[in-house]
Amino acid sequence: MKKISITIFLLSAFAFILSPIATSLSIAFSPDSFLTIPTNNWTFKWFYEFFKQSRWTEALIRSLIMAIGSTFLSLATGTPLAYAMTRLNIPFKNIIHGTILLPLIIPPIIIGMGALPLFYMTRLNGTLIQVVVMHSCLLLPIIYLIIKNKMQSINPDLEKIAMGLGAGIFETLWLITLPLLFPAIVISGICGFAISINETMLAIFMVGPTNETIATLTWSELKQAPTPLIVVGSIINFGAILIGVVAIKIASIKS
Amino acid sequence: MNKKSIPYIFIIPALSLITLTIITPLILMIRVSLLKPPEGKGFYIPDTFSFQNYQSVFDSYGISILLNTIFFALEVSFFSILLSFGFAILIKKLSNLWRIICLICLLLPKFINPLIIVFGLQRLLGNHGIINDSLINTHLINEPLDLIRTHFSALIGEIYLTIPFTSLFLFSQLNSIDKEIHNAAIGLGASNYQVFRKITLPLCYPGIFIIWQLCITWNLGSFLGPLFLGNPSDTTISCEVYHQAFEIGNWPRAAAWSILMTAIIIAFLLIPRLTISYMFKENSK
Repeated sequence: MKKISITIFLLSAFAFILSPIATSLSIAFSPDSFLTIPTNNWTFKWFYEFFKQSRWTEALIRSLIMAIGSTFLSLATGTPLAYAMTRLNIPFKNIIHGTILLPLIIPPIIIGMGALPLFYMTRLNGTLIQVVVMHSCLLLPIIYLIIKNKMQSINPDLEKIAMGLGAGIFETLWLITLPLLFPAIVISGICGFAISINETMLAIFMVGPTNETIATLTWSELKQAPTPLIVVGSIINFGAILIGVVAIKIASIKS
Repeated sequence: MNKKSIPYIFIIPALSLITLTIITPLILMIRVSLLKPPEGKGFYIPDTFSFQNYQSVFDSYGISILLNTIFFALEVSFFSILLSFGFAILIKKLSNLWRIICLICLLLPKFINPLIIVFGLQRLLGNHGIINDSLINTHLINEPLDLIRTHFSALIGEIYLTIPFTSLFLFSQLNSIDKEIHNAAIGLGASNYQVFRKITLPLCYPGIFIIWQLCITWNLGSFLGPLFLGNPSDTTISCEVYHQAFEIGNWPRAAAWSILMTAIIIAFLLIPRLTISYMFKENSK
């Protein structure tokens, strides 16, 4: 009896949590742009439509470039930082830690508003570089926290042994620390990619009308007249994340 | 290469990125907020100085937005923590396989654009949405219920966007409690309710406090729910910043709002923390 009540509770809870996503998904596969339940006609019509319209496919390519670029930029800056914060002697560690976590606390709208005059003055406004830089600042604290967590669980003696045997600090990093950190780097990279490709609020401030990504197209459609194409775009983004995960899994099995 | 300079090589890229994208804009925004608003042309009048943006932020309309934002954030954080605490307790009772499935279901919304969740809610709650249509089809009601564009729908939207984080956090918090304590209490004759009330809940207080603070800071910036699902009287500071910056093109006003919001968030982060550390100091004396 108790078990049944728990099951019913959980089922209703998850029906509650997943219902908006399920509604959106069913709109993507239904022939009309309005969904009437119950329906028996499911089509892939909107997916063909998506790849026929050049503004959506171009936005998809831009989204991918943006997400990959910002993931790499934040990994390139976040990994050395996490290493330095756990292993090396740095003055004002607490202040640096707090500063790095600022993007988690300040709402994206305010970050976007602040960066608007900055890029306006440097004449970089409306380019894809701007979005990549701003997104990598948003991803930096998350990547930093994940890698720092992994870094703390690696035995520091391994590095000391390598250095005692005559390796320099960069040689030790390349041959010992990085291979041990690799799983955490991959996981944080996937998280970063997923966040960047779906991030909207900073993107609408940063992306000009000539450089729309999927997220900003979704935004402008949702403000005026939403079509099922926005859901298709999101499904394809999700597919891109899944492809990344599977590719990395296969690569790790092979090596 | 000098050995002393090595640590700085590691931290300088990240720090310069943060300086470029967060700290410089914040300082620049203070300057922009003190400029005069534009008169029809451009986004601001350069090389001017006035406090009129801050004055207009604190007029009666501004204060109503301010109170609205704070009240809304408190409401959302209260309900989402309550709901996700329930989830966390239920999930903890499951077997391993089902637990993983449930956690994936909880995480799934975070891998999908939040706008799609908002879109789904619009189609679910709208006047010709699924809920209203099915209620009308079964003749339970004759007129569609007012579900969308209300305070309730804005609240639901924001709760949807917050719940994955809070429930995962509270779940890990519950999981870190030692099982032996629970068993010991049961062995000494406590009922399930007593164990929850006297042991589980007090051990969760620190975690609930931290997640409450995070919830507040996220939801002080709540934007999508009030904009797409709420009615115009539910406007929050974020919506106002967006409105001023993009739809009117009045950057000084938007910057003034942003500065005010940053100050509020820092206050909400620091004041409870300082109060608690002060209280503990008093106790230990």
